[in-house]
Amino acid sequence: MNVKTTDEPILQIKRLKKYFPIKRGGFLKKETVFVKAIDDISFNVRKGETLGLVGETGSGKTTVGRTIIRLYKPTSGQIIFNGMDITNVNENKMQKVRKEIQMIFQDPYASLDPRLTVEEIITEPMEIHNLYTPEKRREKARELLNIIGLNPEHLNRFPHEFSGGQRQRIGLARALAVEPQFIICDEPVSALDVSIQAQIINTFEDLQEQFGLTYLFISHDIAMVKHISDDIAVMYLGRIMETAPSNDIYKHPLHPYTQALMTAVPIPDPQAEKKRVRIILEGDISSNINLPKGCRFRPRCKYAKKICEEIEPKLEEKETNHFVACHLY
Amino acid sequence: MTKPILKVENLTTQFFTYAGIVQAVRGISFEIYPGEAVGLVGESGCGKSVTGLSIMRLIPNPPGKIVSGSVYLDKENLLEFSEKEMRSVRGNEISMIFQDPMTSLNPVFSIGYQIMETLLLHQKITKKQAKEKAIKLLDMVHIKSPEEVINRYPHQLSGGMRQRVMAAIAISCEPQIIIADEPTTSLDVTIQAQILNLLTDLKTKLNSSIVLITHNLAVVAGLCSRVLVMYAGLIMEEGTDMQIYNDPMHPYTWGLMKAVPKINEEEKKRLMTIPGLPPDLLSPPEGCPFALRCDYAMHICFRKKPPFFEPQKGHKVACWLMDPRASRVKRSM
Repeated sequence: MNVKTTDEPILQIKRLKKYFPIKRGGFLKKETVFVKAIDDISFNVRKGETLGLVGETGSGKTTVGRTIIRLYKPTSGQIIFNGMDITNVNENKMQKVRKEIQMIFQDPYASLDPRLTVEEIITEPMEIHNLYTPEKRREKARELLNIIGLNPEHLNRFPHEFSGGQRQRIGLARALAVEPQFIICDEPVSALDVSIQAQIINTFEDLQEQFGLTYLFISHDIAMVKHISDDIAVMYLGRIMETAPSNDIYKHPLHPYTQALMTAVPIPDPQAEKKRVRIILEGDISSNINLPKGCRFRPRCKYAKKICEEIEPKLEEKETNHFVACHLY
Repeated sequence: MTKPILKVENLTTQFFTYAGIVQAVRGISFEIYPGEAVGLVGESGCGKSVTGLSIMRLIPNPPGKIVSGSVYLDKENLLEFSEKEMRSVRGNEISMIFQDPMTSLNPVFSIGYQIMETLLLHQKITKKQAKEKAIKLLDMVHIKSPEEVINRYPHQLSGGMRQRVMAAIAISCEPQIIIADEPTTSLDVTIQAQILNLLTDLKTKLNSSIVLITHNLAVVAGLCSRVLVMYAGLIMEEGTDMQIYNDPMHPYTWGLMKAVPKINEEEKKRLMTIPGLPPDLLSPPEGCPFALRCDYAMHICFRKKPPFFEPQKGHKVACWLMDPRASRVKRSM
């Protein structure tokens, strides 16, 4: 809506909303309420860059990823990919879009079919999109295993024979099989140990360089998101509260929520850690069924003013490339 | 120097499975001093949780068994206690906070009941007094309107609140030692910060010792004054927080430190990786368990387990590089 960028964005999200209806009201379920998982968000992702999407549990970050790839049907708003509006295209066309937008999931145990071999897992997307001949697909699968750092001899093995990190690599190979331009990574390393996380993150970075991939990197691990992303968007209860280049958002956060979030992230350095002044947020994230009136962060905000109770602040550019939704600025 | 409150010697815990004997903890020794917070860090499967459970004698048997070693609380060896004697220790002298507050609270009892249960078991007080104390405890862990919360059930509370209730139960009898096993892992960072503040607060108020078991080096940095680094069932390095974070000496610790991105880092550095995987504890290697993944491994590393070298007072390193005969290795931190 008002996010300016220098280069042509590969993905534009405009005023996107996703509400999930829930039936309430006892036995007759007469009352329908809505969980406002995504509530009017707009952002752009530039080609070849990584946008990090952070937020606490229940902030709607996963729903954003799933709505972009149309695992959920958006309630309203627009999703524009490569200049084409894909918000309401039919399933046939959407399948073609999915060749360009792939997804990697959090749980490397649940996201691979246990009855398929690695070769079948990696060649399946190529089959679905009618790419290559069967021989070429097999060849391609071997090539992909090489690229992501697994032994091509593992092609005939099953997922259970691999460790978590290796499975996540298989998931990555599957996503790369159709040569997408854009990959949505939903908490791709959260389930892994630190030394394995670093391996996978480095692989992500290498692939981006090699193939010019664009990532939407969704995670609650803010230190990791800051490491991998060019820009960061901070979500709270279905809204984007602040977006800025990643160094900027850490050093100079504007929104009180971002400030608290950044100081809450522990640093592995006892000297820095013991000197740090931490902003402790009181209470928990509110429910996104009964949102507070005005700014949705108001109940936990220590700077809340009269206006915050009445008017929901809009995401506006307050400094160069630094957008924030807060009445303080 | 003050005497340690807990002394673990040569603790060995194994699991007897169909696949063979899993050597989860392989003869570790350490001491905990009164009023200190010690971080026990390591990746999954390194034996850190099993160490905590072994101290509490909560290893499920079968398949698990504490094969040898001793755990001295003051002068008594907990491993020689009967189950009945042990019950008077748990919750009273050593208590535990678990990772998942959803599964470790009983869903069918109210919060108040679960706090009072521990109090009534260990202290000679009436129900009324126990209830008053429970309210006080909830207040201590910063739960608002404790009189109300006491009648609620676990599912009515958020994750952070549940972890506070767990902490209230753990401190109810003012134990000498609190073992916190990944207390913040399933929580959001803002809630994690609340819980870490609470633990620091409780440590000063009660003067209890805390053993913080975690995979997150950053969480340890804020709370603990001493750190033990575990790998494949062994302690690889032990030292004060400054020694471990500013001057780590074990190649595994170097790897761990450089594998995590620091949020306060100005420019983007490539993350260091530790190649390969931890060894299979069904048949752990003869020598140093880290040798296969270590850039600096020498011949001896594969053949003989390194002893502890103590380059500085209180800083122990199980690595052959510390041997005077080994060539000096420059570390790039």
